[in-house]
Amino acid sequence: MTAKNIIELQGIEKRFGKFVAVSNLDLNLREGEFFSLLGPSGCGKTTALRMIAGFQEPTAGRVIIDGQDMDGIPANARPTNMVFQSYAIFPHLNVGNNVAYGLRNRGISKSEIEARVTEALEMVELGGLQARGATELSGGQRQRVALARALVMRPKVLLLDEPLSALDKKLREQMQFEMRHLQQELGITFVMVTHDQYEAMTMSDRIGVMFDGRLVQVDEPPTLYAKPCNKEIASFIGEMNFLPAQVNGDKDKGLTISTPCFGTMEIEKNPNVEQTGREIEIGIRPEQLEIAAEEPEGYDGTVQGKIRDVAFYGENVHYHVQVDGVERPIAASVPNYFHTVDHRPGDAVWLGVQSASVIDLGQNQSKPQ
Amino acid sequence: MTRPSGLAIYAFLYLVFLYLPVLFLPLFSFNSGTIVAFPIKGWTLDWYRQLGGEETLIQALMNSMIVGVVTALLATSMGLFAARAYVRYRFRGKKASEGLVMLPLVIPGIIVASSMLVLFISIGIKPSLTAVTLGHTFLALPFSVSIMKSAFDDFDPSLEEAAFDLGSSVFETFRRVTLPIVAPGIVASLLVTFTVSFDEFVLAFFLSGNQPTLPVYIWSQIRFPAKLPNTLALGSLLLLASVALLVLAEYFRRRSTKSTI
Amino acid sequence: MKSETAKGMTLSAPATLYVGFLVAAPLAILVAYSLWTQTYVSVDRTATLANYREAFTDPLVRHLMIRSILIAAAVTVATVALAYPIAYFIALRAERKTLWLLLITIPFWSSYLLRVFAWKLILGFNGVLNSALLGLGLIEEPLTFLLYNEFAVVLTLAHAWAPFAILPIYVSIQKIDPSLLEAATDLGNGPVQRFLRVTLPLTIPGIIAACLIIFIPTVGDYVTPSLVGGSDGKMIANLIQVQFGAANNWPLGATLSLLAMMSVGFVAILFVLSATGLGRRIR
Repeated sequence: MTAKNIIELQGIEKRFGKFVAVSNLDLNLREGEFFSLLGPSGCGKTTALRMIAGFQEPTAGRVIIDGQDMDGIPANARPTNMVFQSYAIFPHLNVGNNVAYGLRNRGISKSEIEARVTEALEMVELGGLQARGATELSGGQRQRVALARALVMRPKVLLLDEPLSALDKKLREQMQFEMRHLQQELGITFVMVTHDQYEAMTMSDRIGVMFDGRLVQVDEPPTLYAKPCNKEIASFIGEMNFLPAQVNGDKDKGLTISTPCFGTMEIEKNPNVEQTGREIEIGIRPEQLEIAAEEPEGYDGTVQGKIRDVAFYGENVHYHVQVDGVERPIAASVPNYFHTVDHRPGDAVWLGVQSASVIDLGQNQSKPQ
Repeated sequence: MTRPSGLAIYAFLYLVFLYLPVLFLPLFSFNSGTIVAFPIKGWTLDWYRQLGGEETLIQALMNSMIVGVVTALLATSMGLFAARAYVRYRFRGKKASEGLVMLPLVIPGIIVASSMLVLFISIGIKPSLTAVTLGHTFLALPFSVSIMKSAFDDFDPSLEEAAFDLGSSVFETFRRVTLPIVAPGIVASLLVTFTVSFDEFVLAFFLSGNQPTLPVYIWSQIRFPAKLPNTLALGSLLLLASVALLVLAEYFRRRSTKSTI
Repeated sequence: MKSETAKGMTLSAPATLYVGFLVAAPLAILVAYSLWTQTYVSVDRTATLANYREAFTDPLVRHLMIRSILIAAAVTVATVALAYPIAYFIALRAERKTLWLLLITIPFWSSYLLRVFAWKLILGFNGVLNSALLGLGLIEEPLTFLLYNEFAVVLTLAHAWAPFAILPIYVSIQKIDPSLLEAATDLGNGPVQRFLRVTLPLTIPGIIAACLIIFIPTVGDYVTPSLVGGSDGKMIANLIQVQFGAANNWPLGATLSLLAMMSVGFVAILFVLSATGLGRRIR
């Protein structure tokens, strides 16, 4: 992508007394992309968003929006608008006046305000609800009003603070798609803060993952899922089996490792982690494991084990397999193609894995060296 | 947010405006001159000493105490039951009842006083301490109800259910669980309603007849310039008593809101 | 087990009946008295509107009634205007809210009579303020406009009612979701616009409550006009008291009480309607 950067965060930092909420954050956001800041609560993602919006001043570093340094520019003068977690719908105004709120600050003619409000409400599928009172809205409607109220301002960047967390599951999934469509239609940059990995993955072009105030990895969702850069991210996003391994050979881009269960394998080296010592940890996604009653053929590593638990999820089935020499059972998940559960607890089974599915997570932290 | 605001300065000046006038009373009560004006002539405790010899004053004080105590008991017991009903139960007319008991707060004093005088005379209650007590209970009830409501608000109803579940009777549950937990609220209500009665003037002025309460006594003394220093001394003592009672009430009120943890 | 309704009604009955009786019965008797007439020491119980006729034609009554309402209105405006910034400060800026609230309410617990008395001493010709200003050489001779006029009444009552104005406004500001203020900023408001378009309209209920709590009792205030009002500051309550005291004309006193109550109610309703209407027009 060669799109220009709409937002540049240059080494921004936010301290509250001794507490560092965001530390040395560098991030470029491209024009027209849907970007998510993902992380557990308290990781600093909301603080980062609020520094872009102008509700908080960075202790150090610069926020540049559309080429302009935002230092000293208050929130009301920035080309960004926000959808708040609580939606912040003005309770004393009806839907139409809520959406028109910001336009009335700009000296726009009455007729144009009316036209733009109508257009914005139609965009979020609330056409004709101008006169509805703010207190008579459902959760989903409040969210749509909040969206319309921000989008009607035609911001260069729309900021969304956990926009779907107040909705129930079904509505949340529906809104994920609607917001994605809206963003693609309008071509406006969306920056969303969320703690929900599925929400981030379904909606975003790119995801930035934050832990303890640090931005750890920025990637497109499939890359993030397939190549998490360290164990923190690997365990935060999706499910992952963690296994110890020993490095026997270290080439340019590859490692030769031996594992307690899958034998010796050649895997891709993770450039993001330090390769000190011979003890490393590897990760394997449960759905990347083949599980069968007979030893499967054509796999780089196989091992025999015994089923301990079976968990039926509907769309797939999870098996926990106890393997000799491995402390915790290994999880394998199989899509539920034929509406059958093939293995029972106590059954002897084989697991197979391709070396391409094995992720290098660097030095083993969980084991004393 | 951290800019040193004009608001903070304003707030400080406002506090001065609130406190300064009240603080002049004790200040001049120690002034040996008889005129309340600067400069202060000298310091003395004479005005306080002379109070002990005033028999009408002592009688007025006793009257106020009696009225205050009975008012506090009456208002708090009615407030206790009403507040429990408002917090625990949903019933028809609840809103109306809750609004009604708050009414005494907003009726102009002169109207309460004059109308009660007319009523009491009509039904044969002569102006007396009884009449004042009945009137003060009316005025103090909203205070008791709101204090008791906040005490019951913080009271987890499942505690009573647990006591039932463990075999207590209704009465025993009330005595062993409910009462001890809301006790600080009750004490706060007693203190506040006592203070309301102790400081009240207009109603007592109309209803006390020839048994003046302390504020009515003070009113009669204000007119005599010669008595001014003594009135100041008495007023200062009254201020001190009110503030002490309030601080005590506040202490108990806070205990009542923390006690459910 | 008894129903909730039965339990709730039983428990709340003593308080409800007590207040209900002491509101309704005196009112009924006041109405009755207002229709009777007093001839020297005996009361004539033939129903007549004579008292009302007298009240409506007597210029003194009209004058005092209008003055009471105007003074009460002035007190209300002054108190609420002075109190709003404090409530705003405590709700949004102050770090130790409970301490501030306690500080604001403590003076209220001193006797109202004594607080008014204190103002009388401060504002008097030979009073605290004049003697202090003379002593500092700021004035040549005592200021005479301080005591015994409407100004003294308004000042004294604005002081006396302070916590009643601060608390309801504080509660209404406290209830505003902070993200509403952020949303207003985000949509382009500066601090002043944001206050006028969001904070103020959302605190109108608190302002209305504060105004009513102050205005209604003030119209019928007796102590302050008596102590610091002088002849220019007398209010309707003083006249009512005279009827029940020195003049010994209870029927006229009852009539005046009822008329005062009705005027207060009328003005209060008018005020609530216009204030809510005004609030709705802010967009």
